[in-house]
Amino acid sequence: MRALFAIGGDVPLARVLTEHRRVLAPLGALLAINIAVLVLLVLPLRASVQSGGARAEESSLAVAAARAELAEAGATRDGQARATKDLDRFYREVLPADVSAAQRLTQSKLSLLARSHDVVFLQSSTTPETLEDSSLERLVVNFSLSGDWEDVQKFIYAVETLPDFVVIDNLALSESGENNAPLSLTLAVSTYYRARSDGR
Amino acid sequence: MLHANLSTRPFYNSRGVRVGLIAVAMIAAGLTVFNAVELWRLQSANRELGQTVNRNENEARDLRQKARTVQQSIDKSQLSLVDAAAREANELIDRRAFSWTELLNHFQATLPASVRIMSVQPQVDDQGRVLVAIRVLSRRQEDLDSFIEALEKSGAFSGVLTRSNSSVEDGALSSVLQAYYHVAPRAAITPPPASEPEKDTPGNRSSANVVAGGRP
Repeated sequence: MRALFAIGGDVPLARVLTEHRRVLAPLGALLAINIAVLVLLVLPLRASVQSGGARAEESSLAVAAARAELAEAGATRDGQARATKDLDRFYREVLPADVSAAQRLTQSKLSLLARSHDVVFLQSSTTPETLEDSSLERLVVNFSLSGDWEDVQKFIYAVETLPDFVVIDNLALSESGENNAPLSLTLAVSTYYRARSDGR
Repeated sequence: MLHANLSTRPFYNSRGVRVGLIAVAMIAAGLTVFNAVELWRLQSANRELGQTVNRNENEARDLRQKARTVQQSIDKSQLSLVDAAAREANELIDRRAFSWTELLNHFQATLPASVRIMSVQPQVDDQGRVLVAIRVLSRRQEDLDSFIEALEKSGAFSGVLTRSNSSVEDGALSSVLQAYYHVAPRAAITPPPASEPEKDTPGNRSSANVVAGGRP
């Protein structure tokens, strides 16, 4: 340090430090402690907070995944209950109760329906069928009918819009060569009912 | 150059030294405050994050446990039975919802005078599309082609294909066509046209086109 009132003279730094050691010593100690705290505590703690943030995010994702798992399990359970209820209603209220009810529907009701639409019932054949891997059985009825085209159309529409569960599987139309001869209609219909032996 | 020191303890700029010391003291104080605030803030954040992690882990464990309980309450074999039965019921309902009236209306609208429908059989393929097999009798190949063209143009059918052709007694052509039928929604079913005996309705025209035939 340059000396005052001297020409080209310097004051030794050691003297300056010595003269201010009472202030310099605690100040130096304070600085050293602060740097140590910064390096040993603050910076590692900052890294720890960052990794803690990542762990918290992971745990939030785990909660979301677990919540989704629970929701899915609940949906499966509720879906099964709802499907069982709907199926039960379908079997009880929509399908014929048994083969007799199915036969009444496909024979008597459809014959009456044909008559009410001026379609002449000629003959029918009925075949009950068991369905593989199913609790249902099927009653297939092949009808031979005859009538005018418009009446046949109306009859088909009436069968389709019956409240009862009848499915038209197939239809075939034929006409004799004579003029104004009625059409012959071969209609295959099915209905389904629950098999007796199945306890489902 | 002259070098001279006239004092044994020369003076120096002690004010400058004091200013320097004050500056260092302020830096030290600032660093102390910064460290203290950071320590407090980071420790709080660390504590909160730790609590969040614990809370989330507990919640996730509880939720997984509940999910396991619910899953265990589901009878897997019963579930697969219900699933199969529901699929079967839906297929039956779809078949029941199929509108023959609508299908016949489409045929009436597209059938040329020289082609007659003998039989129709729909079925649903693996992809849930309705495939219709149509047996027709046509006077000439050109008539059959124009029917196929009309079916495709109607927009209700696609992929119309002649599966087989054979000549019958009077020189007419008996053919089996297959086509994908784009089923209209059930609500769109239109009832058959009202009876008007002397009028040339599509129904009458179609009736005249029908010839003897059996199931395909």
